[in-house]
Amino acid sequence: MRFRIPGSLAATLLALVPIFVASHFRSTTYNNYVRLAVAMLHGRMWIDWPGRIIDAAAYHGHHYGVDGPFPVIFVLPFALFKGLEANQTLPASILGAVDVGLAWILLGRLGVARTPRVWLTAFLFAGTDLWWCAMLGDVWFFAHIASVGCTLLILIELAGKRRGWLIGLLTVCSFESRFTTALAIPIYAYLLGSGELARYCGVEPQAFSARRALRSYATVLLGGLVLWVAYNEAMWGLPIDIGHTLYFHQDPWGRPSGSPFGLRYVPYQVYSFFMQGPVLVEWLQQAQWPVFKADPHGIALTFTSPALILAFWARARRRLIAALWLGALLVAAPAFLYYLNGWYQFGMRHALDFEPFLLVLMAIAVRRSIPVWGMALCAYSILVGTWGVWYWDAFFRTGD
Amino acid sequence: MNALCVGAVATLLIAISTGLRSTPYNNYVLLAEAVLHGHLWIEWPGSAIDALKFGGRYYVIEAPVPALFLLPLVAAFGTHANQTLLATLFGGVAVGAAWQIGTRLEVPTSARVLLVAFFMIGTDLWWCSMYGDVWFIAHSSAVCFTMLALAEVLGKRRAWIVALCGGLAAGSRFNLVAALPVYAYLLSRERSTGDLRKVALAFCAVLVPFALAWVAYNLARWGVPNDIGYATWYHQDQIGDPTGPPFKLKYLPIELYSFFVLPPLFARHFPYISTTNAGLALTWTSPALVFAFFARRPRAVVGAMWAAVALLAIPNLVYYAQGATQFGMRHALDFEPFLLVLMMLAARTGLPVWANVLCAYSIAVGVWGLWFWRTFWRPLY
Repeated sequence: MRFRIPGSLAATLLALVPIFVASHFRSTTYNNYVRLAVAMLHGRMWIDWPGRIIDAAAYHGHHYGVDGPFPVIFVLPFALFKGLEANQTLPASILGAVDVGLAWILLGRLGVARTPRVWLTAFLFAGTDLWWCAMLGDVWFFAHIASVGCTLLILIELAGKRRGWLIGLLTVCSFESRFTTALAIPIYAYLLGSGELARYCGVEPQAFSARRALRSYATVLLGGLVLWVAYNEAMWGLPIDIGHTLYFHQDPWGRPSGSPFGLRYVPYQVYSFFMQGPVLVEWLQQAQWPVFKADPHGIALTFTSPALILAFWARARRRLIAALWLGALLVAAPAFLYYLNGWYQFGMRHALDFEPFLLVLMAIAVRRSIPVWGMALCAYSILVGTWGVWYWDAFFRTGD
Repeated sequence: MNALCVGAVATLLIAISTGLRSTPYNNYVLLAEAVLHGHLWIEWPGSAIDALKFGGRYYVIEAPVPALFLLPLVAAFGTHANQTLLATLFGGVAVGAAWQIGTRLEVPTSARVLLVAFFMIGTDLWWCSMYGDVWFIAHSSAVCFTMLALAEVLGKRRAWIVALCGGLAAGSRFNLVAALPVYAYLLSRERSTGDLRKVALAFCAVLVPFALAWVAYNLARWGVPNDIGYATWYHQDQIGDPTGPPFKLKYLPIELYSFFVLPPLFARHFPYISTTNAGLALTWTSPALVFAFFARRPRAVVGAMWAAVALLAIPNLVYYAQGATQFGMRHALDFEPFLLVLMMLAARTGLPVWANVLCAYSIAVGVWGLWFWRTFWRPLY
């Protein structure tokens, strides 16, 4: 029998190499998840605060991490042996590579032909912020990587067996990584119950009961909610999560009162997502090395990931397309109302919350073949992403 | 609705937007005044205007044609003549000619309306014509005569008219001289040998006097037959070099950045989006231009138009200054008339939805640009 490496494993390994090269096995300074893991191992929720260098909210004399706690699971084994010396970037890098393998599987389920499948997988890896997040592994970026992984797994399951409990569990993991993805819950419920995505993939299980699947989905979500309330009680002594609001009130970029979400931030976010460009390095009209520099406030998707436009060419049953677009829009909505656009960053990392939905739409658009202009846009996005990783390593984060 | 009406309406709209103001950067008025007094050096009002000091006098370095059209106004009003008014007229005529080209290419009315509106507002044409500064009126004039040349070359193809308009365009913006071989090619297509000889003769008979006048103009100003104005200016300019031509490959990156990347700025207060005086890339102001890529037939015309675009874009892509102060990328006006023809060729069976959207977007950005400049950058003059 001939041994053959599965495509997903190959994609993972192929992604792992450039991630490791770019990360040069750094251990990020912004290691809130290591600190949270150490805290949990010591039976508390407050972290050993190293100073203002990391984002943490001061509360009742202690400091607490405000980001979704799910990624801490990947750090716990490392923290168990190495304590605060554990390397947070390492699991982030591995998980980033796994995300690429998951994308390969998802695209396979969607019936995408080999050439477009390779292009789209490479695009997700290097044409979005995935590679960049994985090679740094900072607290915010790790959360993105975990969330992308969970969302991809949910979509894989929705395109296959549609096990309600599993989708529920992954949904909990996803929103416990990035809270914004909780807004996709109704979309998952619809795709689970209607089987639109599974039908598109040619999966029609004979003995599938939508009611039973939705019930188990809701039950697990309820369990996740209970867990979340318990976590909040342990953190803040309240059933709700006040972490981000608390941080907003303490952040010099925030305000002393009110919510970190507001309509007043929409113009700033629209500008960030669609207009903010790279900065030309010039002196007396002559470009200086390295010609462009990345503004740490980020670079708009227009410049970094124009291949996303392929999503607009998706054609299938209207309900499926509408559900996927609605999923992307719902998950994007909080990012457009939030007071920060994600800086320090290359590109627009908040877009990683909704890019898995766009990936599915792109896959539907190029299922049989990808047009030349689509390949050109993917290639361009990948080049820009590679440049961003290099730029960040060469200029912003030369060390940890 | 004919081209004349469209041109008149466009002129009126541009004139209203000017508020009948007269630009202080009125080098052409000063040149016309100088010509009427029998010399080519101008009465220099100070460093507010770009004028080259040479042999103890100051000279206008921009191509002189707009000054010729100002002669009657300056004869009547002296240096109080309103240069912006002439720019308004140039802009309006250019729009009328665009309509005529659309008619000749049998572009459906709805598509024609949108494309002409795009040309007027979605490019820098209205903005340049609204201010009428020395650099901007040169664009309006060049676009006006280029559009007239294209209307003729796509219509009756009278060689002397095409040459006259092409010469006037080149006399407004020097790089338009690169379009002349394209006109010559389009005039020569599908003609008998005898006819071809007549066309060549008429074409050259008009252009040779232009060339001679240009040499004479240079001799009178600089004492040499060629134009050293721009190169000398470049040597004196703090962002230039002390030697060499103002066209160098080292400027390609900043020009590419300016034409394709230069984004708007964000402000946390109204109006939220703004620009620097360096302008905005075409990607932001005029994305509808991408529709030009969908022109297919007639292949000879499509090829000729793309050749003109390339010939006219290249000098701008290696020039040391990208056109600031400006809204959008005004240098693109050199080749946008040819892109408009391509867009019209692509629109002969109507515009697809996405092209409608891009045109509408470009027009909206153009309107915003006019408002933004009138409100924030240049509200008073």
